Amino acid sequence: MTNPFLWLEIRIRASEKRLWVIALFFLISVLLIGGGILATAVVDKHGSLIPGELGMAMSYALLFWHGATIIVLAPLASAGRISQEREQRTLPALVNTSVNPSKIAWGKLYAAWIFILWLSSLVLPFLGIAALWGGLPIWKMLSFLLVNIIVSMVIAAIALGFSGVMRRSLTAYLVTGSFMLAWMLVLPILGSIGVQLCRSLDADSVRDLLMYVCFYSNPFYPGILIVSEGMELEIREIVQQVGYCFSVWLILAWLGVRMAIRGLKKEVY
Amino acid sequence: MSLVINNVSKTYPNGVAAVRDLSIELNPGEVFGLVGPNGAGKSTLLKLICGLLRAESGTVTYCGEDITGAPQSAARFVGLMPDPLGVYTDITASDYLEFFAKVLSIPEDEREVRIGRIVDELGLGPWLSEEVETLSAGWQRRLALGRILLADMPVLLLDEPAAGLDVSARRELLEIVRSLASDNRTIMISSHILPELEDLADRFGIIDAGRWRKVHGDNVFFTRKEVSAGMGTQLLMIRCSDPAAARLALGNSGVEIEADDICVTIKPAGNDEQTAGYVNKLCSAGISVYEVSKLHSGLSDIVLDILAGEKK
Repeated sequence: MTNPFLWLEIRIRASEKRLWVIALFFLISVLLIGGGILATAVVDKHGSLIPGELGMAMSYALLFWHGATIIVLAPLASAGRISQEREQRTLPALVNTSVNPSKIAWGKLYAAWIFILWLSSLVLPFLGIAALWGGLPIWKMLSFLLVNIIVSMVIAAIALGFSGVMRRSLTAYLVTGSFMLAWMLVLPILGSIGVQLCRSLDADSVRDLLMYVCFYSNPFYPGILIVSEGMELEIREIVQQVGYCFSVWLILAWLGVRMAIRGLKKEVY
Repeated sequence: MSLVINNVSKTYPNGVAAVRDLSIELNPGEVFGLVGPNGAGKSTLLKLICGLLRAESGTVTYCGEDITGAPQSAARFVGLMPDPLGVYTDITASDYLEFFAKVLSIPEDEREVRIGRIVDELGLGPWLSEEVETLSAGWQRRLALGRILLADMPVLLLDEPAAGLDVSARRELLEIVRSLASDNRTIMISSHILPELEDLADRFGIIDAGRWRKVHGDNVFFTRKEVSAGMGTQLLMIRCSDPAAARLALGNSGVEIEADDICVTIKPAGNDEQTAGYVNKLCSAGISVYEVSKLHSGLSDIVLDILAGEKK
């Protein structure tokens, strides 16, 4: 482990009760979803289970639930990491070493990513059960899971960026939450209204632009494409949209890391 | 091998000029006591030296190398123990030292030896497996000192190292600082606990409103030797049979005289001839003199006198 900040973060987080509470909540929620679907299926089919249907329902529920929770939990892994150093007044001791700000930022980000990977690994056994019950094909489940993990990593990077520029952890959490709300919900809602207007006005080029801005970079969009088998789009369109989506995510992650490094550099003024 | 601070100035974004044109040269093995009231600019000066703040003007050099506003360059030579300490509280003392050993890129095979030496030097052994949060203020300060000793830097800046410590913890910590100075390190200590600082530092400077205060003539620094040789105002204390009557008898001597139930105090003390004159006057007035002693002002009195003098 060459980055000492990754080592420190893992030491600190592993000793925190909060981490284990989150993991327990995640595990229990996944168990409840699996159990709930099983129970519903048993009641609906009067005791005769149809494995394919059950597996499908479980796969969808688990993947979407994983996506939703991991996206919400990702900021917890990074939104307070730099601002907390400011609050604890530990930054002067770090700046008074030969270590550079980018090493600090990357160490903290790696730790957040490890948290995301660890939490995501907890869902794997349940997805395995869903696959045994005739759920989605394994490649689809794994692709969806991978997309969830990537978008959570991007969100962690953005949250770290806000943590770098905000003085208080609470502000960093709130700003990250607002950003996510705007990105995941407000933009699609505004986009839907805009698309409807464009349809009535026959403004196709504006409609396409709105689709790109408001929908194609949404954290859930690639997952929806996977489970809906491309929404009957042509391969060219899928490549174009997914390429655009990942480019936007990459830019957002890069901006997050830059913000974090810039915030740390500003400690010397 | 000296640390040279040359005409550094710093104004904060809110317009407060915390440090104005300060200069000083510190030599190896020297302990410098930085004294001054709250908000005088002591902490700002320390942060400017180690590059945590950028000076608007002036330079900080160590052995001729410019380290002004460059924390990474400064970190090779200068270690800061800030106030407040800012230690990670949710890890063990051992993890704390290991983390900073990693941060300082101390080779893995050397790490254990270096940490072990510092643990022995600071007496941290029994506390290594304890969480930092559970350590007393004194042990937390030792741990923070351990951090800067790990880097083996030739210049140590200690901002209020004894703040919040009880008398014995303060003495122990200052003993450690004294032993560090004997290793040819340059140490600058900012402290409000002047009696201890008086015993520890070789040279002193009083900073107020971001500037050095003049002490005598154009000199802004003074040494411990000067303090112990009675650099400040000396007092003459005469224990006698009737201090109130003695005060009246000495009333028109042109000096400041105070009396309590036991003695009269004359400020300034004056020379031996004047002392003899006071004693004669008291004897002529029928007052029995039991004891005459001259008292040197301590660092606290000197600092207070100088700061009060400037205000006048």
